[in-house]
Amino acid sequence: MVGQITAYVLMKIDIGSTEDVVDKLRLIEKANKIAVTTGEFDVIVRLEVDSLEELYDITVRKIHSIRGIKETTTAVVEKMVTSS
Amino acid sequence: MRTFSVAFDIVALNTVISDSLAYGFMSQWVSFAATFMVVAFLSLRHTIDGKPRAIGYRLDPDFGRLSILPRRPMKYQLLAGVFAGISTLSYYVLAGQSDASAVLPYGQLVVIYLLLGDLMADKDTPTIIEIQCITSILLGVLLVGVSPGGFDLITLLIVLVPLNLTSAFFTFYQKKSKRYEIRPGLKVDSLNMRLWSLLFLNIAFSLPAALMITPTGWAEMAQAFVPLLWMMVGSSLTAFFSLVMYVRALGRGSMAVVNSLSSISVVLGIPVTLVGNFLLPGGFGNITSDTFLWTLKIFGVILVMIGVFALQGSDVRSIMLLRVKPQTGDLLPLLWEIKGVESASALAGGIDYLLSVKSRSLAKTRTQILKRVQHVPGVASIHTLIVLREYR
Repeated sequence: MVGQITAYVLMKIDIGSTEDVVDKLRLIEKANKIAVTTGEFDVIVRLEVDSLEELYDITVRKIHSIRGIKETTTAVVEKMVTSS
Repeated sequence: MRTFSVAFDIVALNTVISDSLAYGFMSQWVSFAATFMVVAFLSLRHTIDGKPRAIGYRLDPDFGRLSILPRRPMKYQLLAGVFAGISTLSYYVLAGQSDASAVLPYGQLVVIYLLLGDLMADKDTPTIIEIQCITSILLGVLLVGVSPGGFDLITLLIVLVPLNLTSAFFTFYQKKSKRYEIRPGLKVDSLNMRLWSLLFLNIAFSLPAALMITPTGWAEMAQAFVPLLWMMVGSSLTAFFSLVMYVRALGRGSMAVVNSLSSISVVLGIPVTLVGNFLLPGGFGNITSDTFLWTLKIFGVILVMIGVFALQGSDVRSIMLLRVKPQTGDLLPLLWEIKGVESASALAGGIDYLLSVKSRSLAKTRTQILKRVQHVPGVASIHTLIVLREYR
C-alpha cells in the first residue's frame, strides 16, 4: 500500500474494438480495475504501480501498443480517499 | 462460516445443554477470550513486503496491534455492542426452539431494515426493485418460520423486532466506525472493532441473560463447560473470521448489499440441518418429516435469496470526472462526505477529481449523488460516465 502510485488511464476506443481492447487490458497485471463506460471516455483503467518508471512502462509499452485505442489520458492520483 | 457457527450452536443445544441462554452466556465469554487471544497473536510482528508488520496486516491492512480505539469509534463500538447484545439475546432464545435452517433465514430480515434506513436517511422513495426485494424477503422469512401448527407469533415478533431491528443498528454503527479515519489514509481496523464490540455485546447480553438463567441452567453450564469448550472455540473462530471479513466489506459497500451477500448462508441451512440430523440424529433439533412443510420452507429460502440477490444485482456504478474553478481549495473531504461516493481521488492533469460512485438506480445517481456534487462550491464541470461493465 505505502509507496504505491495509483493512476487512471481514460481511453477513447475505436468503434467495435472495445471487447478486444478490454481483453488485452485484462492481461496487464497492474490494472486492478477496468470499467467500460458510456460518455466522454469508453474505458477507464485503474493502475497500481510501484514507481512512475513502471507507470511509464505500462502506459507507453503496453497500453499504447494495443490496437483499437484512439486516445488516452493518464491521470496520476495525488490523494485518494476510499473505504476499501 | 456463518452456517457452521450457527450449526455448532444448534448441535450443542440439542446434544449437551438444553438451556439456550446458559449456553449463550458461556459461549459468548469463551468467544471473547478466544478473540482476545487471536487478536493478540495477530499483533505479533513479522516481515511483510520488506517491512515489519503485524500478522493481522494480511487480514486488514489498517491493523497495527491490539489497541484501544480512539474515542469516537469506541463510542460507536459501545452502541453497536449494546444493540448486538439485544440481538444476540434474541438469537439464543430462538436457537433454543428452532433448527439451523430456520435461524439462518430469520437473520436475513435485517436487509429490509437497512434498506428502509437508507431510504429514510435519503428522504427517498423506494424503487420497484427495492419494493420487490422487501416483499420477497419478508414473505420468504414468513414461509421459513412456518411450523406444523401454523405461524408461531411469538417467534415472528422476536424475529421482526429485537433480532433484526437491533442488528440493523449494529450494522449502522459498525459501518460508521469502519469509515472513521484515525489519520489520513488510516482507518479503524476490523480486528480491534470485533474485539471491542464483542466485549460491549457480552456485557449487554450477559446482564439480562444472567437474570433469566434458571438455577438449573447455571448447574448445566458448570457441567457442560469442559465437553463444549472446543465446540465453542470452533464456533468463536469461525464467527471471528466471518465478522472481520464482513466489517471490511461494510467499509466498502452499502449496508444492505453487504448483508445481502452474506445471505448465501441461508441456502446452506437446509442441507446442513438435514445431513447433520442424518449423521447425528436429534443433533439439529426436532426435524419435521412433513414434506409439504419442507417444500414451503424451501420456497421461503428461495424467496429470501431472490430478494437479496436482486438487491445486489440492481446496483448502478458511475464514474464522475470533475474540473474545478481556479483558486478552489481542497474539495476531497467535501466530495468524500457525499453518500454513495465509494472513492474520491484528486488527480494531476486536466481532470481535477475522479469519483467512483454507486447507487441503486440511474435516477438515484442523479437525484442523490450528482445533485450534491453540483452543489459543492468550486466545481466547474462534471462528466458522468455510467459503468456498463466492470472487471477487477
